[in-house]
Amino acid sequence: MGKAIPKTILMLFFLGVVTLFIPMNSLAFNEIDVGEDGSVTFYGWFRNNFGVFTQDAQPYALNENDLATNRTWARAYMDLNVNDKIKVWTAVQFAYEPYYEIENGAPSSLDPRKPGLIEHNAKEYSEYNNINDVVREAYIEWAPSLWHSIKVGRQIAIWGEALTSRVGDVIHPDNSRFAFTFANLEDTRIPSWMVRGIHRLPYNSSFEWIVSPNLVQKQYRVSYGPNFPDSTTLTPGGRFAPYPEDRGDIPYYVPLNGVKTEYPTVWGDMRGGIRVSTTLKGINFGVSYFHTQEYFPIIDFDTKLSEYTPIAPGVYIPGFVDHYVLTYPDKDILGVFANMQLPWPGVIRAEAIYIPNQPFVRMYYNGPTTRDYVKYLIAYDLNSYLYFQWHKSASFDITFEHTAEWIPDNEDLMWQGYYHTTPKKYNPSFSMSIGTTWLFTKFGTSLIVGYQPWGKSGMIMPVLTYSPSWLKNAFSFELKYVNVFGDNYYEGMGPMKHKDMIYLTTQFSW
Amino acid sequence: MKKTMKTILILFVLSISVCFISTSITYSQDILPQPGEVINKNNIEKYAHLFPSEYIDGFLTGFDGLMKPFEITVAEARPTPMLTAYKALAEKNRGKYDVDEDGMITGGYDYIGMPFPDLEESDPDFATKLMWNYYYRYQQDDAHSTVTTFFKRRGESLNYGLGETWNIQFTNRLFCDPHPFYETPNEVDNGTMYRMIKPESSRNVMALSYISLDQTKVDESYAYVPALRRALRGEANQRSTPIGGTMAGVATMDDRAGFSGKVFDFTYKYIGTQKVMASYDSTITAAKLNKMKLTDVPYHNDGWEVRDCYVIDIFAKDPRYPQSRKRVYMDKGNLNILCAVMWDRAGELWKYTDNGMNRVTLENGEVLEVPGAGLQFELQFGIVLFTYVDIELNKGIKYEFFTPTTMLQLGR
Repeated sequence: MGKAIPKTILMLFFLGVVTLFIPMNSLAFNEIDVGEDGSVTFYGWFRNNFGVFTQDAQPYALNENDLATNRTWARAYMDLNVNDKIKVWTAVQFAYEPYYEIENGAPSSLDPRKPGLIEHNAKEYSEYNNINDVVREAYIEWAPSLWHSIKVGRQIAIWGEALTSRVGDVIHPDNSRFAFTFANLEDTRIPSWMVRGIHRLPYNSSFEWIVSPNLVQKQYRVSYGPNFPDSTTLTPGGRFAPYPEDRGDIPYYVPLNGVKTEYPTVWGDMRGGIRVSTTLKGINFGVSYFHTQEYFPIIDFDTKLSEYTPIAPGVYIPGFVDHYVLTYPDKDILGVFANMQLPWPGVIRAEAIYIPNQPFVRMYYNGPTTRDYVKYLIAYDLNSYLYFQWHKSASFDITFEHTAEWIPDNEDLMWQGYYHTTPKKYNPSFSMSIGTTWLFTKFGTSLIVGYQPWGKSGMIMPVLTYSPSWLKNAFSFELKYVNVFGDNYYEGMGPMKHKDMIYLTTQFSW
Repeated sequence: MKKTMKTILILFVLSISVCFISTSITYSQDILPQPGEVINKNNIEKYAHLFPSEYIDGFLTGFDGLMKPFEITVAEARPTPMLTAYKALAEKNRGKYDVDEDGMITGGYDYIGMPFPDLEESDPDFATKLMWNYYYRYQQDDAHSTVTTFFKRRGESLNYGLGETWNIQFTNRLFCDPHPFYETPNEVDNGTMYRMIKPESSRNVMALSYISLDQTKVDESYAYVPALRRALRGEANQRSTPIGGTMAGVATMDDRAGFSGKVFDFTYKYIGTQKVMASYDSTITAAKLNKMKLTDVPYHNDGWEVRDCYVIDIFAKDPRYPQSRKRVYMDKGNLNILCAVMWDRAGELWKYTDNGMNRVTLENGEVLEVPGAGLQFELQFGIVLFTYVDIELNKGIKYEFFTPTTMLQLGR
């Protein structure tokens, strides 16, 4: 045992504490009165994601192990109404993931300043001893009247209209280390510390503002991703890491140990923005502005006296050298959105963002630059209309989404700041989802299909859900297959095209 | 000859007696139960004329075992008339309005008072005009309700749900300012917001909908899904498809209160009148139910009173509408729908709704009937829902509450 309590026991203790919040006979606490005007409610879930890759031999993996995910996690929420003006809400999360054999030999992504390999101790993805992992959200809301509410604390705020991708949803970075972000938008978001105000205005309008200092630990201030495989050293990468740039068409080397990361500072790089919304003649529309940083690293050179250019693990030499710096430059996002019920069946949604200073990397790592960037969405939802006599318990709901990026001045840019591919000047994508439930939500079936002409790439994602009546519908099961296709590994969704997987999600809600 | 006459006389007396006895066994349509009497499978035949024929099986078999056969206790009938304050509001509308061939009100209805206060059964458009009066009846200025739900599929265990509903009428308001008419930027007649509290997996799922003043215009609908953290624009025109296929879909938006559809979207046929029983001020309350260890769907088995009702058949103009016909039984005195029967597109019996009512005393001392306990049956799938509504009326809720911004504030 040693002097410190083993982390395993600590983890089990916390899971046990969470378990104490589950009265099995009623499956949740009833609302508990707190004082004269207050009440508190606890609820949450236990969940397991178990999945396997369906294509043998993941690129650059040192073995053919297929286990893609076996994540067991628990989340507990507390909803405290102190009185009719003050509320407190928290979301606490614990997660356990084992060591994944497929990542044998891959560098750890826990802290890029401390290079090393993923260890065989199940610590890489487990979440139990880092406050930023465990306290996912915690905020106080003050609503002095119907007209105003202010939330202070760590929370999630989502703007935008898109459902299968992100256009105006620009506030939060992602954690893509443990899942595909496109298959799990909600749980891969990294909550941010912020003060957020929502104010009603006359004539069916509202005004929202956000001020968000970068208070979380450095690796949470921006998107947190797995390390790429290294094609030069044939080092594996994280399970959900994209395919690496390995065409060898230009000599380059980004030494993993030679990377310095310049994270956004807490106050100097504070994020913030505003959003105004109104409804007129049945059309809900508005504009937004958000100042933030690029959440994916932009590679810059830093040619100066360096004390941390490695020649061997843990061995550094001084001198004037080029070394690569991961930066997260500022950018400003202007947005506009609208949605309306059509005079015929269906709802239309639309939004667009314009970034006049979108950071890019120039080809062949000739330094960063900024360019104009536009992304838009047009979507059509047909819900509740396709309803048939032979399927009376639910309708078939269909959604079409078309998004596209436009980079007017693209010729010398490097896609994703990494691939030796010039991003398309105009890059459209299309997605469709169709779904329904059966026997009044006992079963659910849906299919999501996405396609990009670039790289002739896309994904197909059929989903089957089952909600038995056990323990008052506390259990739910979801079986999902993710198929990613593409002509090559370097365009569109191609970098993920060897990541086909099937996974089962089992959840117990309490 | 004497023997023959005697035989004929005996046969005559016997036949008269048989006729009399058989008529008596059929029971007079005027037979009413007495307060305190219990109606169950043993005597439902005697009082079958007081229920829709489709409801009788509930007494005999509990709808083929969906729940225990009904056993209800009769109470003294105390009809609640329409509010005098509301009738006074409608006086100016006497003889003022009519309906066109499409069923729309003509004459420039100003949404104050029921449009046809002097409606007679002899009116050739009686059914349509009655439904407009029903639509514009006084329900509340605003209301905040806690809705407790127990539901069950045949052969499975009981489930529980809890939610809260906010309703607001912008027309025909009596008490809260502004009244009688509340002008809104998007010209709406009423708004409803619903928030699920339990089961926990659906906590904070919310729905918001408005119906426009002009029923030919599209409505607005929004849904808040906690996982998406956004208020999404929903399809507002499909009011009779199950909401997301959930249990709430057993009673869809149009099925609420027996019928909540847009009057303009339907045609109507007046069937006649019938005495019908419904439950009033049942002692089966949510507070009591929450303390009980239930294994079967509860129901409001007390406080059953007899009411004189209009019987109206409702047909959708849209051939795609899921129901081929709905029959409602409407209290003649205050126009509340006490029960409704629905048939699917193939004409098969599909759903049944039974609306128990509670009587509340308003600030002016008058009594208003509001939703209380109720049962909804989905007879083809074998699902039953019991709901109990705890309602608070006329608290001065403002239009600004019924906006997507509120969903963002209430959502977590």
